Amino acid sequence: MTTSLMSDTLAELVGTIPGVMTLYSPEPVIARAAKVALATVLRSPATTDRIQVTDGPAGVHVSVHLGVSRTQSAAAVCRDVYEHISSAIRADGQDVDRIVVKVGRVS
Amino acid sequence: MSQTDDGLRHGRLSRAPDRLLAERAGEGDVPAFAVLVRRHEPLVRVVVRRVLGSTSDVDDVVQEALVKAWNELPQLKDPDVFRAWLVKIATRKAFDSIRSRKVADDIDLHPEIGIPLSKRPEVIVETRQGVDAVTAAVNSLPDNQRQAWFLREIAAASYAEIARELCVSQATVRGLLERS
Amino acid sequence: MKNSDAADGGVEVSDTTPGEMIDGYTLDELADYLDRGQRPRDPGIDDSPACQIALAGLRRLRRFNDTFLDDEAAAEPPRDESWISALLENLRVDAHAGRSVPIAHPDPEATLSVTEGAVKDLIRRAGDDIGGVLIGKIRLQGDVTVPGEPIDLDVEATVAWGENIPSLAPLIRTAVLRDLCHHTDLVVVAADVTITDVYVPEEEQA
Repeated sequence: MTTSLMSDTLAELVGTIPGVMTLYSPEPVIARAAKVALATVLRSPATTDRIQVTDGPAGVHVSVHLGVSRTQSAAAVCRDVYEHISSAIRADGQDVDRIVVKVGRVS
Repeated sequence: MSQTDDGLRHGRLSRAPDRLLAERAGEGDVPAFAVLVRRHEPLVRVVVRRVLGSTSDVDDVVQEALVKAWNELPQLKDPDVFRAWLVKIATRKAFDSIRSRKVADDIDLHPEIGIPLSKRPEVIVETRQGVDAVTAAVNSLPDNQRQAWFLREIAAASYAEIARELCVSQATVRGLLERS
Repeated sequence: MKNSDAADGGVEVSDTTPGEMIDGYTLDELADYLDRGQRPRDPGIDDSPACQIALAGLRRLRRFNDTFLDDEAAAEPPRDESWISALLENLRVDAHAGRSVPIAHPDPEATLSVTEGAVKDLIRRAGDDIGGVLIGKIRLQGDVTVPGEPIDLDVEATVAWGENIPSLAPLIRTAVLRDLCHHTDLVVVAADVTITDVYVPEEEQA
């Protein structure tokens, strides 16, 4: 699976995990704005990666920035998200370099 | 004590003083910032509209000012003066927005560059062109200190006050006062 | 700047042009002083009659305009909620994120954390939930980025008039510690709750 397809797949998967409320785009504002501008010119939808997937030295490197609901333990959601992503990557036959999960907000 | 539902908490937050809300918002509390926005955005709107002289860019400038306030809240040493601080940010954003526009062709200004504003006998401040005229004049002032002074004070000054400081005719001032 | 007529209540900052100094202070500096609520006290300004006159002029200008603009603002229609929501969504969540508080996991490929900002969200929630309480400033003392590091917590709170204040501080402490334990791996060894203010509640539907 390509990194961009994996990013979409993982974003969908993470969205189903209890306690996950928001996925914050890791892209800096300027990069995001440029994407939107380009998409407008090309008349295509602007896709912003909500989960950052890159190729690391030992396998796939994933970075997720979350907002969670207080109904679940933030630590538990963090671990849950990690485990789901890890399983998904290995199920795709790839290795995991690192999975970074950061909870930025509890609402 | 049972969990307060969100509505109750929001109600309590919406009656909290600026100081508490600014402290919380400065530490990342979005609901507190939301209350500050609802409370102070109308004033920001009014100030920005006065500086810009038209309504076209007001929404954008207001939004930029509020986002800037969010980002810089931790730097506000005295959260009690949040409202005045926010107005200052909004004023500067509005002036930045004007500076990136072209000055309208039909402004009636004396061509003397470098003559202090207060000594120009005929700076007519009209409602629509007024802000452009004042801004162009301010921008031509050589002294940064004076410019900064106007930037600060113009935010709070109605056209009447600006006109008075700029020594326009009493009739113009009275007319503006009547209109307001 | 010309003197304005006393009759129209002109601002008497009139003997100086904006660039001039008033007893060693620029109008800029005096306006800043006003903005700061005149704190910390500056005897150079406080003891100078010329500065006091200038300050009075600035205050008059602002008071007139504040009332004027406030009235106008009060007459403005409120923003619709969708505009406000869009604005709030635009706010960078990492603007006040603070430090990263690690969450333990046996897998070495896992780098899990909760931001200090999120931890404060939790603390505010826990405290706010107690009827009659609004949490204020929060400080986490100690290196929260080190797993297992003992942390001191300082929390300020505002309580509703009429509440039994001495009973609230321990309630807040318990609620906050419980939630921190549930949601994070933080080791909080001390939690100080300070009630800093009292607010007057309007009717609250129980």
